[in-house]
Amino acid sequence: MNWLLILGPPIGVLVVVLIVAATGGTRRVRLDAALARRRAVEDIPGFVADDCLIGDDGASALISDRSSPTIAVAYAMGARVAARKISRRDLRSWRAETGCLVLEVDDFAHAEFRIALADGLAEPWRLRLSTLGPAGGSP
Amino acid sequence: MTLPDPVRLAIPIFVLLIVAETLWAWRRGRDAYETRDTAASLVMGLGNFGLGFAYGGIIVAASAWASQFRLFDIGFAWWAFVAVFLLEDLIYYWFHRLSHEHRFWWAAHVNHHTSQHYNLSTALRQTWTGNLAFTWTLWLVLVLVGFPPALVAFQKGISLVYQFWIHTEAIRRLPPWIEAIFNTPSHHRVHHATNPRYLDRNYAGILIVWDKLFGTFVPEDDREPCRYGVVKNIGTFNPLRIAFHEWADIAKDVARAKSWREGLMLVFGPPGWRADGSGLTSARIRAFARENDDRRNAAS
Repeated sequence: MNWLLILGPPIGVLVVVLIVAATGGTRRVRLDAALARRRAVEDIPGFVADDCLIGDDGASALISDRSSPTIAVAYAMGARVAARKISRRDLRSWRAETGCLVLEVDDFAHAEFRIALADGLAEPWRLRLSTLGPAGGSP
Repeated sequence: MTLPDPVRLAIPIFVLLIVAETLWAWRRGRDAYETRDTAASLVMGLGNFGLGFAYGGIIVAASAWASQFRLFDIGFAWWAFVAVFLLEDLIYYWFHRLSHEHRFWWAAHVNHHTSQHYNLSTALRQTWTGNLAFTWTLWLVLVLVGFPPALVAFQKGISLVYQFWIHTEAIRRLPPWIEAIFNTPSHHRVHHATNPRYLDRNYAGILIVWDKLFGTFVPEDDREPCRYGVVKNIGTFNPLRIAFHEWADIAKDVARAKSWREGLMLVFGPPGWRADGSGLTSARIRAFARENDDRRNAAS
């Protein structure tokens, strides 16, 4: 059995990942309203960004669409930001837990979004979410 | 004639170049690399290599079988290397275009585009399901023409090794004559971008001339920086989810289809297709962008 062939590749991966981590690869972006809005408009064709609610940890945000009843979630992916549309078709349910809002979506890759909101969820957002999908809990 | 496996020989160089690019990005203060993103890409690359071994026997057997029906005995003459270089690259272009324009093959290829970073590790974010999507059968055409299977495999390896170094932002532009003929980092950045004007463009492997010939070439515009990833970014660094998410989505969509035709379109139609016309296909995204541009122009 050639141990070099078996152990070499995973050790190689580990070494590269450690070098990336040591050279700033663990940076995290912190969202602000301008960034979240811009990213939603860039990522979602036809989206017209309106109100924006930034999570307390700056890792995710909700953005409403001025042109339709949909909303967008913008979220940090390490040093990058991604946004996706949450329409009536996508949203399975939502609930406000202590300290965060949880959106469950119909998506194999990313089925749940948790948005840190220590102060609860403001009424306009509660209404918007209610029109998109069933609320599965209350704060 | 025994030919080496270019990919196996190049792996140590791949690793060294990734480390070199990481250090280059660090010195320049660029966030080109992200730990989890790099780990995901490298694990995908390892998985692809391992699965290639597992599946290789079937491809070798199919090539040997097809070789019985070859039209010519081309052998390993010098001009055979030139001819296979050109023809393999032409097949690669159509394989790659097919992989973007039809969801069944997109499901096998999408993982390569899921990183929002564009660096040398992205090149290794390779498919785990490509062989199961039977795209390798396209290369049997070369065997049927009469190229030795070993020569075809060698050229496929050369193409893969070539395409490694173009996954970088470290090189902006190469001399114009190179940019005119070859696929370069600039051309391939466009291919990985989701900006509407860049979407589904520059499918080339080694020679960019195929895109110019078939009308899919778009040059990189410095006024419009590339945004990398996929139209609907997947939001995960989990290699299993990266490898299988589109297959899972296809299965879910087909289960909800209201007719056979809709089911077939959801599998083989363009990615993003929806029966009610609401889906975000590349064509529709481009139309949205055109409308926005028109509106902006009218307002100004």
